[in-house]
Amino acid sequence: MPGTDFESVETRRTRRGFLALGGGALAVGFAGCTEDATDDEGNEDDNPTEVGDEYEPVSREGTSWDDLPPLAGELTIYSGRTEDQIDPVIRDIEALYDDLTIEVRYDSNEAHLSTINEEGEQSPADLLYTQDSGTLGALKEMGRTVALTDDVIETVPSNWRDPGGTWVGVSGRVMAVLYNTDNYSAEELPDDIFEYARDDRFRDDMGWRVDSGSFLSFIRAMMIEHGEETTRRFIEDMEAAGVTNHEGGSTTPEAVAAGEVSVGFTNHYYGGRLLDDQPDAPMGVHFTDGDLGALFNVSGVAVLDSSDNQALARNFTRHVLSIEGQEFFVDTNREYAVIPGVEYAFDAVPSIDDINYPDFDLNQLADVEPAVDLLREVGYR
Amino acid sequence: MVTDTNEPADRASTAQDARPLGLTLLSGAIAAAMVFPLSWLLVRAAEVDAARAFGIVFRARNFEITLNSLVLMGSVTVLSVLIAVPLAVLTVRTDLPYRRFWTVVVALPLALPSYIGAFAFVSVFRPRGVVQSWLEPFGVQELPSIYGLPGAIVIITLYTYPYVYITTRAALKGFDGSLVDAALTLEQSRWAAFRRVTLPQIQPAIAAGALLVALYAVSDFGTPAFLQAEVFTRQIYLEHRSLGGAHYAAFLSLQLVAITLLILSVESRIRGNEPLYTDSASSGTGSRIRLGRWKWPATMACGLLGFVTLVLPVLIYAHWLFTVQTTRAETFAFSPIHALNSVGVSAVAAVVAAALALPVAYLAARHPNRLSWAFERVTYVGFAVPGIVIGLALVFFGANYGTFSVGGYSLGDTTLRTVELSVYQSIPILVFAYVVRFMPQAVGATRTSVLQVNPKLTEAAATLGKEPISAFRSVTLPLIAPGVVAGAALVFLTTMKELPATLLLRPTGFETLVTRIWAAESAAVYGQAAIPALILIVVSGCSMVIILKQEDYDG
Repeated sequence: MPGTDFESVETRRTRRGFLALGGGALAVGFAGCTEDATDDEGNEDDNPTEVGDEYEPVSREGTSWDDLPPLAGELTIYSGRTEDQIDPVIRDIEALYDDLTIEVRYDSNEAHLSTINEEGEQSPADLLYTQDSGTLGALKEMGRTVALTDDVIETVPSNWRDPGGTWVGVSGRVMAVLYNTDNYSAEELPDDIFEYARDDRFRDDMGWRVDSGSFLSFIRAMMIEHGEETTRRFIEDMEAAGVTNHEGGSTTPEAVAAGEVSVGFTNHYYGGRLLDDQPDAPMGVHFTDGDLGALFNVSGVAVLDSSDNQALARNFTRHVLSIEGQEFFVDTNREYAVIPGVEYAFDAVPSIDDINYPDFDLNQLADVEPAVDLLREVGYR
Repeated sequence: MVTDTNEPADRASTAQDARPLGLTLLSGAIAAAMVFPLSWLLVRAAEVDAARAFGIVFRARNFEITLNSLVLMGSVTVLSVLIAVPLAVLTVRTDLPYRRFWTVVVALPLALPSYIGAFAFVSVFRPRGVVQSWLEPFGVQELPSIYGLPGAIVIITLYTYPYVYITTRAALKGFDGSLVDAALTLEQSRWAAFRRVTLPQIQPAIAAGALLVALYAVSDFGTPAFLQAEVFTRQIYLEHRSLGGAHYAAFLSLQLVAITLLILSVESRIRGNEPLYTDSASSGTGSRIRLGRWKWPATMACGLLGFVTLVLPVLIYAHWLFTVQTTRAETFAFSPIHALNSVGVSAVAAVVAAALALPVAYLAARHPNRLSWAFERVTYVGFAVPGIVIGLALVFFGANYGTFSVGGYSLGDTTLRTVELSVYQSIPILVFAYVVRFMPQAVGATRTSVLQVNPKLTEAAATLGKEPISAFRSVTLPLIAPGVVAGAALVFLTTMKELPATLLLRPTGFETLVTRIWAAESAAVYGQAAIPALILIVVSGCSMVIILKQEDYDG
């Protein structure tokens, strides 16, 4: 590992040289070029920026940004998460350090994978930050991830990261049953996801979001756990029960709060966000018991094998896994923290300790194509 | 029809050498640059072994997708002609009230990105959308589904027919309406006069517009995605989304290119290569058709079209703007920089495309032979290929081969220093992608305007001792300027609304109106998409007015 970091300092010099230039102007003034290059060299000499592997570890109990080593250099993140969900925390981290620049390119998870595939070893990306674990699993399958350090891996519970240690979840979400509190109480709701498709009380009174990656993951997970036939029957039963297919993340919670449907299936934080905006909305958040109705998933990061900045990327990862980073995900996104040291300080939604989520290896969700095929066959795509 | 031996070709090339070498080489180089990115498809496809490739291409699902794409392309083209030609006649040759206003209204849908239109449509007309909620009190629980191929055909038609409208309108304004009057005095019926006199004259223009419609229809991604229609673009996107799908996506794209080449050769047979100029100076509009009692139904029809295609999406976006927003919306606050970036990069793309289109179009119009025909036709291929394909191809070439070392000496220092320059994720590569995608619109408009210039004028200039270049500059260029500007404006308009290649190739942090619309919509904060969307519509609407104005000069 130290070898790689040593090399990376060498290559980074050239790369930063032309990046600085590209930012300036394309009309090349020779004097200007060389000046840039000298500047850069100067920086490298008197401050060999990051710490190689002389890092301060993060821990499960929570580490503060104050205790982490400073970040310096230029980090390029390819993000499949939307701006509102991560930009504020990235800008906070950037503002902490004078010598740190973080560039973020936003696109869909899949577009980033295709892009990295085409870029090959020349990818400018240091870190891939995705909406779901499946994309990270796919990046791993492409052979483009590198091992993370032990402290990072040990900080996050094993269910929430790559067992092989090449990607790590940084915030969690769980599939939830949103319900209208005027019509039901939590006790009246089934704890078994399959029960909803059969129970006549819910006929023509349910909604779910079918256009999301989370829905694909849910269907794919069910296919892995229960087989294709059971999954197909479940979807057909839901269809027969008159479930409404929503598009867009906020549609289902809005439909539940407005009483258009009594029950809706989405990730828990969509419910959390609606309750943030409308605290008096007649809506509650319920979870099934130990089955895929409470499938957890993570948004996470992986460091790219082609990155010249792997040490910086790993230290950035430590920052999002520290107390301040984790609190941001809870406070702003209503997601769950992935480290035990940060509480879920939001009363309207049960905390992660109260949920019996199933034991499931998220790497299995790398290829969701079988789920796409199944949904196509039943007419959902 | 396109060989050296046909009569107009000979007539056109008497003044100069039959094949001006410099111009031919230049056109060839431009054409090569335009198809070069597609070589990436061959690279990807070649990685698949033959047996698997055979399996990929010859399976039932593939035929289904191909058939759907052909149905989509054919239906959209036919429907567009059926909508656009009557509209063109209505707004040019009749006494329709407020004709200028309606001219702008019926051309304007082209300025709207289809994903905005489709998005608005879906929210209004989906089985349980806005319209259903109005009808609910009357017991309507669900509207018939708009998803699938028929819905996609309707929506793409509504936003692309203006291509045919614009070209047909220009042709109607340009041709001598007194011919129709002559036909009428020979006691031909209105319909017979239209069929025998007008139609043959405007047919090349209809074909030129229909070609753009057909190619746009197969390259559009937004609408089929929203409406879940299984056509090439949507499948290409889906394949790129799945691991290892890049190979299949490459094959799908190559099939699309093959179909495109077929369409291109068919269209060139329909359009012909006849010069469109007349010897007489008159191009009067002839007498106007009196609509009589059809006046109000015709006005209503234009109004309905404008309401559905323009007012409805704007209302939907305005509605989102004023409904409850969350604090998360702050991230998506609008900045005028986004609009300036959009306008700036689109203007550069428009100028570059118009400049590159000029030699290709001029050669094809003035020196029609197999070579110039081939050069002109291949520049159209990029228009039919989805933006994601051009985008990923340039990601591949840009990231891996786009870095150059620039050497130089600084003052007072004799050591040679080299600095690496990369075109990847920069404005130049982004502009190049736009030009590859949209240049055919400039080629088409320029070629038509060259054909309208009587070559005798250039001959006259030559006999006065002018060099060909100087004769071109002082005689031809001013005459074709309206066509060149109209073509550039079309490129501008389409670049303004391009999304997939923009996301892939823009410099990091370079935000345009469409990237902001995309960002807000993918975060489901639709209200924040409203301002950039409305500005996009207004700016593009202005460029549409420029296009229409150019054609007014012709008539």
